[in-house]
Amino acid sequence: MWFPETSALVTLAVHLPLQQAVVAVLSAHRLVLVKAVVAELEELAMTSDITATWAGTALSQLDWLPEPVPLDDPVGVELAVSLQEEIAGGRPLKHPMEHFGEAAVISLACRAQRLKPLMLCDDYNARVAAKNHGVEPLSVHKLLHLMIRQGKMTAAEAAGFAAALHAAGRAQDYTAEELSSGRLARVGQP
Amino acid sequence: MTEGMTGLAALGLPETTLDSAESEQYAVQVGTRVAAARKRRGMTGTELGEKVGLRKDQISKIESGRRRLDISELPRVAAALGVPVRSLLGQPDRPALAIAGRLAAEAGPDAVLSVRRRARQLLEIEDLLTQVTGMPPARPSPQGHRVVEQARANFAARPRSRAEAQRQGRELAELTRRELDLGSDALGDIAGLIEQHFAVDVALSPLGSDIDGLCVHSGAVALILASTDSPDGRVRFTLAHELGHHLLDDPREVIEEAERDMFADTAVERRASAFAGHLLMPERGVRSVLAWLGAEPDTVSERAVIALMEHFGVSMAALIYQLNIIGVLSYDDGQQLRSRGVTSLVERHRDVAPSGAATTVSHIRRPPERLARQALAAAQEQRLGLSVLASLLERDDDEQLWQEIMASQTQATASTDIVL
Repeated sequence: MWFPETSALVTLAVHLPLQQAVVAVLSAHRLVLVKAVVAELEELAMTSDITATWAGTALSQLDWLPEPVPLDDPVGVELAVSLQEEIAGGRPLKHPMEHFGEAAVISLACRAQRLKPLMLCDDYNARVAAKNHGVEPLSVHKLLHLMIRQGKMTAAEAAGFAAALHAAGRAQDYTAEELSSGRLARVGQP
Repeated sequence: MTEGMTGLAALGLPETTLDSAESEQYAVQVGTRVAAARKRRGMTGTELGEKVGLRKDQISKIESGRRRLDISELPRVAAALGVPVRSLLGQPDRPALAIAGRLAAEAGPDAVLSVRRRARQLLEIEDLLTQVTGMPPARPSPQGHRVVEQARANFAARPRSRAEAQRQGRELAELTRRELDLGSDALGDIAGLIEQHFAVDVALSPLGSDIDGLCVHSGAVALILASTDSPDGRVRFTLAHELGHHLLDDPREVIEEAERDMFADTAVERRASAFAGHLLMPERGVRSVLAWLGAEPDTVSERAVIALMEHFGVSMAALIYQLNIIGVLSYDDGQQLRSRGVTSLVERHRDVAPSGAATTVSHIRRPPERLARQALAAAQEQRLGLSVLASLLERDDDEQLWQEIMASQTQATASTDIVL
């Protein structure tokens, strides 16, 4: 079961062909969109942050995902609040919802272990928190690496997508060899 | 998703370990807190609803516990009400978080806001490291513990005169030097010394020149923060002055030093300043340096003042005050020296002040060693991400920071058995 979260949806919104390639692979699996992710995208879209435009684009491209799932049970809410603080790590928030999307995803997914939850996430701090709570995280670049390894995409295609993200200022530059071998430094961890 | 279901139930899983009565009670309690915060703020239900994108009837249901707040609504509601998210959940405040919350809530002059923000951030990080990584509380050294015990036993009474304030400050400084085996020479890393012996976290940051720093202490929480937008000599005096407040168990939970607060004409400030002066510039050490410089007894030349500033790493103002207290420089002579301008005097006597450190503004950043060490280990072991360490180091170049601390440890992407 895949849980795409805010930062990954923003990354996918940067380059439509990348989004289409990822959707083609993930649509074969059960997907969960958490309502807090949508709320975080809405708040981000209203900021002056460089990613605001992409957040707005992401909001208009959610039709490949099911209806958002609310998270309002006491245990889930309290865990999400703790996780949000852990992911923020003392940094000032750009908006009230910052990191609550990732936190809500982890809070829900970590209690759904029998569904083998996977989180698509481009925030390193959130991926570390997810891993520590039994949720396997993947960045978009790591997903591209897996797609190459499993024959869903060529290394050259993946490198083209990575170049588009780099050109937009969304990621470091990664070569076809790095994407193929998995030597992706921070985006390959954890 | 199954229509109308939320959370785990929407995924086809049992919802929660709480029974329905507990869950309902929880919703009522959260709603009651929302209603109380809204009324304190003087807002109507309609106004709150407009701010957070909900209708008045939805706010009414939330406040009566008939509708649970979703995690996508909670931060917006808390922000609209000007309260922390945790307060709406009724979570008991842990010591560091409680103080951080009070720091955030208190109004104050602009000059202190940046210092409060940094102090609040450090207190929140301390709480996070304690909760997530099990960081043990700071412990004083045995010598430091003896100093604290004696300070609080011997100087519990507030000084009633300037002379008594001076005497108490001096005695405590001498006790500190004696217990810590510091002799009478200059102190090196005063921030490290405080952390090593007194279980106080010390941070330095460029926080503006309108404020010297602050001391936060309550129970097991103790933090001293100084602005490095002032000359290093003044920063050292600030650290020692705040240590004085802490050792003497100043009853204020937060002691802020804006503008000339440290030099206010009150017994408590005079005592802390006397402690700082004698700790940084003990009489025996000062006289020893003067003798080395060949000064006549009880006379201090312009050159000797600059040499003493360099030697003890203190500002001219603090040094002249101390020389006056020791009795080797009259008040009038001191004022005359100060009127000549410290920068030109340091330039003129560069031979005895090669570094000029006492007058240099370094703008350095120094996180508390205990917190930085714990955050680094947690980041390297991936128990925490990089954000805590980055916050402590006041850095926002995560990619570079990751390369610096992680690249040598993990190269290849972690293997996975995910089938796409």
